[in-house]
Amino acid sequence: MSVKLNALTLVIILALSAVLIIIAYDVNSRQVDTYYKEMTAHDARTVASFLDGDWIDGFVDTIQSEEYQKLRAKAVEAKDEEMIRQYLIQNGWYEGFETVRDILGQYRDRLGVAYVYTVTLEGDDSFTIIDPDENLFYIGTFVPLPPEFHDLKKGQAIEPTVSVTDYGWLCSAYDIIQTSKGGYAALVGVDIDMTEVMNEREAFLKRMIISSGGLLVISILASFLLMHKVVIDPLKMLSDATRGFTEHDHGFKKEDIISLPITANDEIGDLYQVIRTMQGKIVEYLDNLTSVTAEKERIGAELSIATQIQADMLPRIFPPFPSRHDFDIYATMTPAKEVGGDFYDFFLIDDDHLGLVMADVSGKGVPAALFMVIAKTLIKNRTMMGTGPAEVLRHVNEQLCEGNEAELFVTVWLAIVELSTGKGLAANAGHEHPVIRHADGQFELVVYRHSPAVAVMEGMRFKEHSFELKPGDSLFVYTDGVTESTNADNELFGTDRLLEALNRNPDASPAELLTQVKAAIDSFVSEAPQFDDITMMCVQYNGAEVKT
Amino acid sequence: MLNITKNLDHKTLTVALEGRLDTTTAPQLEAELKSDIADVTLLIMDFEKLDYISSAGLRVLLSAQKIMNKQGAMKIIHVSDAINEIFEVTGFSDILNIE
Repeated sequence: MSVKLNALTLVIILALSAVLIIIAYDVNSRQVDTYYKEMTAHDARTVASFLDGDWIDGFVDTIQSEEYQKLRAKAVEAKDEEMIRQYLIQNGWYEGFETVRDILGQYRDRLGVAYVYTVTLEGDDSFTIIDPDENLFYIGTFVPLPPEFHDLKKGQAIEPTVSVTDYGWLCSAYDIIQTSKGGYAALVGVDIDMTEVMNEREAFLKRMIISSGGLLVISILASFLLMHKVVIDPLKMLSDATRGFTEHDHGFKKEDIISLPITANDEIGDLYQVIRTMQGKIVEYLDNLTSVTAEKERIGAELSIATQIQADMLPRIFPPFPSRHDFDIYATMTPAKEVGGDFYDFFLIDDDHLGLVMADVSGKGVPAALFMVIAKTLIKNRTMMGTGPAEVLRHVNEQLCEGNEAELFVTVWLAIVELSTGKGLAANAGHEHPVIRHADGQFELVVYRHSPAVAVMEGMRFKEHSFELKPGDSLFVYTDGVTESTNADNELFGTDRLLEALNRNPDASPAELLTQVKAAIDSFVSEAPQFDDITMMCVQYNGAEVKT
Repeated sequence: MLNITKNLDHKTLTVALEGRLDTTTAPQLEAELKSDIADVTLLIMDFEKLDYISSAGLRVLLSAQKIMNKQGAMKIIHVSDAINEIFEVTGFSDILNIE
C-alpha cells in the first residue's frame, strides 16, 4: 500500500517538475532572445543612421564592377592586398572606405558587439561591402546565404535571428542604409555574441535540473519519513494491537483494550480513540451477555428441576399395587415445554376404597405448578380422611381461595370407588367429561352438568353423584391437553377422535389404551408444537372375585 | 388469533371478542381489560364471534367477574351453543351472568 502510494507520488512529482523546468526554460529563453534581438536591431539602426548612404551606393557600384572584380581576383591570387588599396586610392574611394571602416570599428567597440559590417543582397548571395574585422580581400566577395534568406528583396525588413555559426552563438540584425533620396543603398549587419548567454542558459538548465532534482529527492524522503512517522507507523501499531485484541482465547477483558502512545489530535488519534471506545463497548456488551446467559441458564436449570419435581410427585410405578388384581390402572402425563399444571393421582384410601383424581390448573409456568402441588396435596389428604368427593372439594376450595392473588383455579374430577362392589361416588368441578366403557361395549362420554372449578369462589358447594362399575368396565379420564391437541390447520383433536382411538381396540389393557390414544394424538398433530400437558388415566375394574 | 373491539360509553364498556380465547390469547384480553376496567360499572362481553374458550380464557373471565362484582356488574351476551356448553360443563354458568 505505502510503496504503491510512494511510487505514484514520485512519478507525479517528477512529471510536474519536468513540465515546470521546461516552461521556465522556454520562457526565460524567449525573453532573453527577444531582448537580444531588440538590442541588436537597435544597434543596427543606430549604425545605419550614421552611414552615408549615397557614398555606399556608389562604392557598391564600384566594387561590383567587372574591373574591380577582376582586380580583386588577381590580388587574391597574388595574395597582394596592396593592389586593392591602390585601386581604391586611384579611384578616390579609399578615404571614404577608411571612414566607414572606422565608424563601424568604433561602433563595434563602443557597443560591445561582436561584428558590425555592411553587406548587400545579390541573388542568393550576400555581397560583402565593408567589414572592419576582415582584410581588403573581402571587399566585394560573394558569400552564399542560407536558404531562408533566398527570397529576400532589397529594401525588405529582415527579422533578427539567433543562430549558431562558425563564430559561435550569434544574434544577428540588419538595417537598411538609405540614400539621401530614401532609397536602398545597402545593409548594416550587427552580430552580438551570444555564446556566453547560451552557456549561461545551459548552466541555468543544469542548475535547475540538479536543484529541483535534489529538492525532489529530499522532499520525497522527508514526506516518506513523515508519512511513516505520522501515518503508517501508528496505523501499523494500531492494526497489530487490534489484532492482538481479537487473537486470544480467554474472552474479552478490560485489560485487553489497546493502549498505545498515540496522542496526536488528528485522524489517527481519532481512529485510535474510536477503536478504544468500540473495544470498551465490546467488552461491556460481552460481560453483559455472559451474565445474562448465565442467569438464563440458571433459570432454565431451575425450571427443569421444577418440572422434574412436579413429574416425580405423580405415581409413576406400574403396576402400583402388584398384589391386587381386582382393578388395573395406568396413567401418563406428557408435559409440554413449559412447566404446567396437569396432574393425576390414585391411591388406596383403605383396603376397599380407591381414590382417583384427574385435575388441570388454569395457566402455565411456575405459578400453575406451585398451585398444582398445593391442590394435589390438599385433595389427597382430605380424601384420605374418608370424606366424600363433594366435601373434599368444598374443603379444598376454601383452602385454595385463601390468598389466591393470581386468581388461579383448578378443574378436578375426583372419584372414590368401593372396590368390593364397584360402586362409586364422583364429583366433577369443571373438568372434562369422563369416558366409560361397560364390558363388551364401546367407550362413551358421560355428559352431565358439572360444578364450577375449584378455587373460583369462596363458599361454594359441589355436587356429587354415584355410579357403578361392573366387572370388565373401564373408566378413562383426561385433561384438555388431549382434546385440545391442535394440528397445523388449527383443528382440535376433540372427543370424537378420542372415542374413536379408544374404540379401535376397546379390550386392550389400560396401558395399551393410553399408548393407543397417544399414538392417535401424535399422528393427528404431526409436526405442530404441543402447547399443553397431555394427561390421561384409565382404570379397568375386574370385580371383587379376582381380588387375590 | 383474537380480535378485541372495545367500546366505552359513559361507564359501560362493551368488549367484543372474535376468534379464539385460549392460552396464547388470554394474556392479551387480560391486559386490555386491566387498562380500561377501572371506572367501569357495567362490563358487557360480546361473544357473538368467539369460536372457542379454554381454561385460560375462563380464568380471565373469572378475574373480570370478581372485579366487576365489587364495582358494578358484568354480563356476557350472544353466547353460542358451543361456548355455552363449555360454560355448562365447567360450572361457570353458575358464576357468570350469561344472557
